[in-house]
Amino acid sequence: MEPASVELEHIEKRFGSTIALASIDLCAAPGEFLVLLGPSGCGKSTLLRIVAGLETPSAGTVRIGGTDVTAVEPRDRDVSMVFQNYALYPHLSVRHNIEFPLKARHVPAPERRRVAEEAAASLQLSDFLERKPSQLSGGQRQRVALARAIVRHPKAFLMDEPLSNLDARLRVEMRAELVELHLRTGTTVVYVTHDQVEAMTMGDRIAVMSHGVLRQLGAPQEVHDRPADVFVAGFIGSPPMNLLPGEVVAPSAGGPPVAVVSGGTVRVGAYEPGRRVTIGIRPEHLVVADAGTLEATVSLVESLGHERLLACRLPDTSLVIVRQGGSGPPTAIGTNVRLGLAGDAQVHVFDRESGRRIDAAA
Amino acid sequence: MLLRKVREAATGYVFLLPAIGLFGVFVFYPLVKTAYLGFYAQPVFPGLPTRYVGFSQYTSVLSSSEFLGDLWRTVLFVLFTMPLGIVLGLAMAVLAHKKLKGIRVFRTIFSSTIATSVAVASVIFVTLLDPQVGLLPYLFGQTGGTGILGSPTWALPAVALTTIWQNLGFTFILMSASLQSVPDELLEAAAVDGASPTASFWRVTFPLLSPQLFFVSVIGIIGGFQAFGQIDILTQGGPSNHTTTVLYDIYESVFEYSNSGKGAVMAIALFVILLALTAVQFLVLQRRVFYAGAGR
Repeated sequence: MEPASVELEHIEKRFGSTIALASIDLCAAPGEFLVLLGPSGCGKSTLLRIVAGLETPSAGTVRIGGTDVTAVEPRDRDVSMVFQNYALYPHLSVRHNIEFPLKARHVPAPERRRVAEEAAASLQLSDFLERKPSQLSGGQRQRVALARAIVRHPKAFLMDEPLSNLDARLRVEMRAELVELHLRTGTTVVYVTHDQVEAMTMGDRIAVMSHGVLRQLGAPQEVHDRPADVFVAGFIGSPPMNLLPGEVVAPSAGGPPVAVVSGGTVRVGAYEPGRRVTIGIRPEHLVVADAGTLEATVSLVESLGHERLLACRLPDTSLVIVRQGGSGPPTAIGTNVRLGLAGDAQVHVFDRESGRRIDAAA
Repeated sequence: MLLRKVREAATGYVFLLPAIGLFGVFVFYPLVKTAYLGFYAQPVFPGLPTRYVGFSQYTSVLSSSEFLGDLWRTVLFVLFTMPLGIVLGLAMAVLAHKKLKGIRVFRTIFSSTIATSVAVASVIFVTLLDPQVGLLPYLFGQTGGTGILGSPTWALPAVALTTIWQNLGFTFILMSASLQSVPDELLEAAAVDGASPTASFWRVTFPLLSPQLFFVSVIGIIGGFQAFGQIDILTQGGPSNHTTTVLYDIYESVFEYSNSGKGAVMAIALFVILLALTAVQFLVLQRRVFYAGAGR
């Protein structure tokens, strides 16, 4: 089966008076790995369920492979879904779980058996074919769910937080397996997660959502480097970006334009003076330096071995996080420091009212 | 170490005592006493003392055509009531499992028979089936005559139908609860996997209901063998014993003909039959029953 595009046009979903999705437009190209990322309750799972046909949108159109499937039953959409809790049939053996979608499509038994065994082998499940799901570990169950999804070569894979029930180590392993699987099959994937690491490492593109609204759609690096608004800025990156309320002031003679924030000033691009903004600086872009333009007091030092995180309090009591290398003597708690921008630092500027990113005038 | 084990065991037995006491007085003693009564025959003329006859009363009663006839009617009665009752209860539960407006009203109606006593249910059916004033004979144009409850052919099926109706509320509630315990996610997975609603019912829902179906079938068989109230009210075992089951014969022997020996023999036989049937059900059916979490 050729990979198909998944297009969502003006998708809306209301539950009573609650708006779960507000006019979402989104398209996963054929063969693309598209990640829907957002905190819980942002509507990403609902959106995926709309693609699967398990929910009906209140308005809008779903197209798979260019065909309008909005009114088509899930079983006729030719997509596979991997659920958060795997949704394996507990009374069936691994073999019969994997064969289930083929049986539902009346594939003859010998063919079914062969294809299921192939799928099982590709996911190292050959030794467990006769076991029941309850006799498998979390990772093995996850692989059975994947095998069941790939066994009939669907137009698209829909995955709803498939790794969230695994322990940290297994998650890293399965992440790699999923990416490999995607490369091997070339099938379009729509992948829902709240884990930004998964999104950044697996997705061709990331759609960041919050409160039923699509905040930004772009390649992982682009979403990281040029967040479209304060929500995306704060959501992507760990530890999150420091966001400081400030006001642009006219540059002094010969100096660069700056924004005044609590504790000092931050150099920004050319913006209209007097504009109320939110300044965003990633923790790795801040350094402790005598020439720094921000005054702060170190209130907490977290040592992670390879790096250190300094939580520094500004005069208005807001916290900024500074990421440092793990070597060198640690800064003592209570020390008054000056914070400056690292050499390659990027300063993000957002409109204070709308929260949208504003680019400096050239 | 040993002392601690002894103490723990002693504590356990102390906690068991009340239950053992109650069972002893109300189950074990009556059981032994019944078996004992079976060894004593009632003389032909009332008022004379019973005499010890050993196992001969067991063999004569259990091989009599009267008992075998009772047993056959009891089996027929169970075959009428148990499967049809389960199928109807399950079908109604599936129908009422939809998320529709006002479905609660239907659920309440469907489960209402559980709040109806055997006596009330039987009286309702006596009225409904009455050949002179009953609604059903009127609807089917069969008024007059002996009526369905007086018909040797139809009396037993009619009592069975009453029983099915009476038990429907219980089966419906149990099946509804079981349907709700089937995770939505599994049915959604089946839908995405390409299964039609019918296929997903038979391949996913039905196997997951098997423990409850097994339970209802065991209860149904035991209940069928123990049916009494409806027979007593609707037909009193008639016409000419066509609805006399083993249990009803026990009742008649002991309380109408004061033949406690014969009644005791049949009671012991009924106990052994039910025990054996339940054991067989456990052995045979349980292999096909899926219990969630088993084998973990």
